[in-house]
Amino acid sequence: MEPLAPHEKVFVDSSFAEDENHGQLGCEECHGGNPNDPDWRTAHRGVVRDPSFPDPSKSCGLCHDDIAEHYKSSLHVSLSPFKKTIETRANPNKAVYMKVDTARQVHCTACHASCGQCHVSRPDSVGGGFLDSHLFQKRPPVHTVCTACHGSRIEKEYFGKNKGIPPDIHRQKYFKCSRCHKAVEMHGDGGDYANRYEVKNVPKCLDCHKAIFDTASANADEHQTHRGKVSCQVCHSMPYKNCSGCHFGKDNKGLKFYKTERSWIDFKVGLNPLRSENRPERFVVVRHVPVDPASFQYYVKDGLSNFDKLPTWKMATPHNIRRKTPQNSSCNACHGNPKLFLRQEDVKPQYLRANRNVVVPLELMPKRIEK
Amino acid sequence: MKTMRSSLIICFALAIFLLLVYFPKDTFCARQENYCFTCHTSARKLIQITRQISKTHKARPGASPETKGEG
Repeated sequence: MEPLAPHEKVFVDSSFAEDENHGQLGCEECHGGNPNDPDWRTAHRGVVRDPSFPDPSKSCGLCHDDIAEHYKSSLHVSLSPFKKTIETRANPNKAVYMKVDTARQVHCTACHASCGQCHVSRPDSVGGGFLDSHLFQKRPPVHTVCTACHGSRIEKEYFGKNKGIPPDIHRQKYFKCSRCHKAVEMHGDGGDYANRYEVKNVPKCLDCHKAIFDTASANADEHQTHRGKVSCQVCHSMPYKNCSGCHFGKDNKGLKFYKTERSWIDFKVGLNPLRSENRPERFVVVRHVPVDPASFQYYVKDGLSNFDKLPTWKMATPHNIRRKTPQNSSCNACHGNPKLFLRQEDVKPQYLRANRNVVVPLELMPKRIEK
Repeated sequence: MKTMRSSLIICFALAIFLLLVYFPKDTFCARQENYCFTCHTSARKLIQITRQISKTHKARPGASPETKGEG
C-alpha cells in the first residue's frame, strides 16, 4: 500500500460540498474546531480527527442511528475476542491480570476500525489519511482498508502472494471482500461474541453453493459423503500462513514493538475446537496463532499462566479457496495420509496440553480406501 | 413616463424576488469564508502548513525498529 504524504492525508476534494448528504454539514458539526478562525493553529483547537470513534452517536449516528445502535458490538470496533481469549489464558491474580490487560490495551486495541476508518479514511493503525479526499465510500476499498489491516494472512492468501500458491478462486472472479462480508456482519448486531465464527451474519459457503448437494450436481456424492463431517476448507483450502512466538514490548525510546519468532506455510486438519450446531464438522482446518506463554513477559512474569486453556492451533477459514487442491485430488490424497492431519509430533512439547482437543489421534484419522 | 417608471420598479422588485427564491442557499453559504474548507481543498496551503508542522515536531517518534516478523 502506497503511503500518503502528510498533506495528502488531509486534502479534501472540493466536490465533497456536492455530496447532498454529508457535504451539506459544516466541517465543525462533526469535527469541532472553529471554521471562522483564519489561523490554523487556533482553528484546530478541540478538533476531533475521527468523530465516529469511540462513540458515533453524535456524528454518523445522527442519521445512521440504525447502524450506530450496534456499533460497539462490531468485532472491528470492540475486538472483543482478543479480550476474551487473553482473559481466558491470563493469570487470575488481579495484580498480574491488570498488567496483562494494560499490555493488551497498548498493543492489541490499536488495530480497531470505526465508521470513519472504513468509509472515509485508512485505519489509524496504518497511518490514517483520507481514502479519496474525504469523499465517503459506501463500500470500503479492499487494499486501503480491508487488507491494510488483514495483510499478513488474508491479503497474501486471497491475492496469491504466498509463493507457489494461487489466489483464491473468488479473487479470480473479481470478488471484493464486501461481496461475502456484508455490512450487517461488519456493523455488528448487538451480540457479544467470543469469536468471529459465532457471529450470526458471518458468510457461509452454502449461502451461494447450496446446489452442491443436489444429485445432479458435479461431485454430489463426495459432497454428500463428507457433509457435516469436514468443513469446506478441509477439501478446498490451499496451504496458508502460520505464525508462532509473538512477544510484545517497548524499546528504549518507549516505542512499542512486537517480534514474531517464526512464520511458515502449512496445511493441517485438526479436530474442531468450536463444534456447534452451526459448525458441526468434526474436522476443520487449523492455523497456528502467534500467541506464546511469554507473549507479555515484558510487562509481567507468568502473565498467561492459564495458557493451556485454549489451543494455539485455531480453527481457520483460509482465503485461498480452490476447486481442485492437493488434498482433494483423490480419495487417498487425504484418507490414509497422516501428514495432512495435526499430529502430536506437529505440536511443540510445551503446547501439547493446550492443543489436546485439536490434535487428531491416529484412530480418528480416515483410513486408506482400498479399491 | 409614470407608467414606465412603475413598470421598471415592478420588474426590479420581481427580479429581486426571483433571485431570492431561486438562487441556491448553498451558494450564499459558500460565499461565507469557511477556513476549514478553503485550506483543506488547497494542496498548496496544506503543503505549506504540513511543512511548518514538520519543522516544529521534528522529534516525533516513528515505529520502533525492533519490530520483527509478521503481524
